[in-house]
Amino acid sequence: MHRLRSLEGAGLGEIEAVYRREAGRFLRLARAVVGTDDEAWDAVQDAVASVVRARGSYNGTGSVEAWMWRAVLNAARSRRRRTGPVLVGDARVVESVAPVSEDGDAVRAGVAQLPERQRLVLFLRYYADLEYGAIAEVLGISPNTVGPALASAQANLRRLLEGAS
Amino acid sequence: MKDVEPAVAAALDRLAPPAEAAVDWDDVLARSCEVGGDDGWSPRSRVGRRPRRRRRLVVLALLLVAAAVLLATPAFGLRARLFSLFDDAEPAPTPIVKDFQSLEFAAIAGMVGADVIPGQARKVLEMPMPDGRLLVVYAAPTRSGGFCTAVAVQRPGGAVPGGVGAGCVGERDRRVGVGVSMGAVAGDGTVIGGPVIVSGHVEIAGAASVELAFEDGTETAVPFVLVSEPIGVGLFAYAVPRDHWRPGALPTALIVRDGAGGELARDLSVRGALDPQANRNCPLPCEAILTEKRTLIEVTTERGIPVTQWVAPSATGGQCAWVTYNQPDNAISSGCPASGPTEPIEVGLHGGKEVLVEGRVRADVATLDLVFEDGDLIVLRPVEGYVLAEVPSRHYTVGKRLERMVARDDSGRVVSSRSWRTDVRGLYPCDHPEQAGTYIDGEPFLICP
Repeated sequence: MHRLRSLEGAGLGEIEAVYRREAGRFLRLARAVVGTDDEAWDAVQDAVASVVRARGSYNGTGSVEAWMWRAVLNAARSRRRRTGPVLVGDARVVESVAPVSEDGDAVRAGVAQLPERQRLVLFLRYYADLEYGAIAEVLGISPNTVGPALASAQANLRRLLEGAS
Repeated sequence: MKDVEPAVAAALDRLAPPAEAAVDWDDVLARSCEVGGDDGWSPRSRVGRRPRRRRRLVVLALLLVAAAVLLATPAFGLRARLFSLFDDAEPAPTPIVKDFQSLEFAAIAGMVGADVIPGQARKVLEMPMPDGRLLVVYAAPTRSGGFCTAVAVQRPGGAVPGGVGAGCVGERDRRVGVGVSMGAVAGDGTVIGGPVIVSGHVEIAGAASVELAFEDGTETAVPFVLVSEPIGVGLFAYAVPRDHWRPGALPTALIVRDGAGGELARDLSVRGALDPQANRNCPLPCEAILTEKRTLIEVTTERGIPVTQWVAPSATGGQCAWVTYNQPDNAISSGCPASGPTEPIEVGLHGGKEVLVEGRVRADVATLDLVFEDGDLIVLRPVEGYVLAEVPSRHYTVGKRLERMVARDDSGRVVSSRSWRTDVRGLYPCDHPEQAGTYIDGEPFLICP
């Protein structure tokens, strides 16, 4: 489980280190959002590039990792909007979504029906392996709401999947 | 993970199975367009956006007057073919049209690109790159006889990237426009961040082919296409193979030839663009002797952000100056000019979360007046020729913005004045960006007025 380090002192080297360390998880999270590997890879690359670009003017508080997770999430969501009804945030299930089985489609449809906060909490918990505080930091929500959102997400998803089977 | 139920975990695994990510830091740097340090002092060129970073990669167009492009046509390596913009080309995809629309929406009247016709954007060139990706060039005419281009790097079969940026050529006053985009250049001159893309336009009667010459004496044909009216120029682009990223084999010149092989033009700017001295990636000026750095001006913005003007002797003679924003070890603008300013006012405005006035004035300037539309006046006193100040937030709104700078000498006599457009959108922060247009896919384009 990942705790996030302070942003203070972050530089290009640290961004690169986080990127190299977390690339697999970044990709997986993006994949869950955008639906295809190509789109996911582009989203991750664009997200990290945006962090590199902004590193000099960043004046917030927080951690490098949270910043980067947030960037990946935003890039993926933006790409999802741009490419149309492909993914998780959309209630529709689209045929062009890549190599997913019927079972995978059912999961996608189920996940798509979750409220967005529940969905993102679930993704960050499972794919990113972030602790509650870190999830709260990435999403800009209270840490106290993470646990309930995660529980609700799982209960709802379980119910939706059972209904689909 | 103990708090994710096995059934849910299994479902999530099906949704996004664990996978090895293709880590490509060079690609990140390239996409960031950030690698490489600024070597000149050109604050004016940075008006309207956070300064410093040089956009190199995918977006070269924004910086290079050039128009991009390229192709992988059957004519590769041979004579250019005439490419009918509307008959031969397929319309640009939505993300690219949106890039052109961004130009249109963000530009103000009279600005190059403001009259681009996004709906006429076409794919004019496509060629495989050495790394297997595709280099694709799109072009769109402008209503005033110019043209805009966008260069995208994409994976075969992959989605067309958006946000690659686009650049325009307004007045046709250059025979050859060349742009180089790349990542970083190491101290020994080796390019360490790719891809390296040379692209641009040719507007010379009789131009039939373009070649790139290298330090090792070799030459290679560069994909070149003559695009029909209303664009009416030759466009080229080329992804330089890794074999030519090292000293001794770097590109040195772009050569334009006629149908008989005669040389019509030779542009040497490509070599300069790869100069390691000009491309070092230093957070502070590379030449600055930092042990002797001094603080000249310290400003704390209304948002509490420290902004500082620094100077230090340059190792190559002269003086380095830079401005840091919040982080003292990372300059947002910098330069090591060999001599003092020749113009009385060499000052720029930097927009972002706040608006900064930054730059230098000639030695005979004792004060710099900032005159606002509402009659307000702020007088800056240069420190060793430098000025740095924040435009107060009360001057963000239309009707209250900075409209003029007036330089005065010791006696109060006006030495020079400079007007500022107050209708530049996106420069001043705002709480509620306005919709300046609607993208082709219905998404609103929002920008501060």
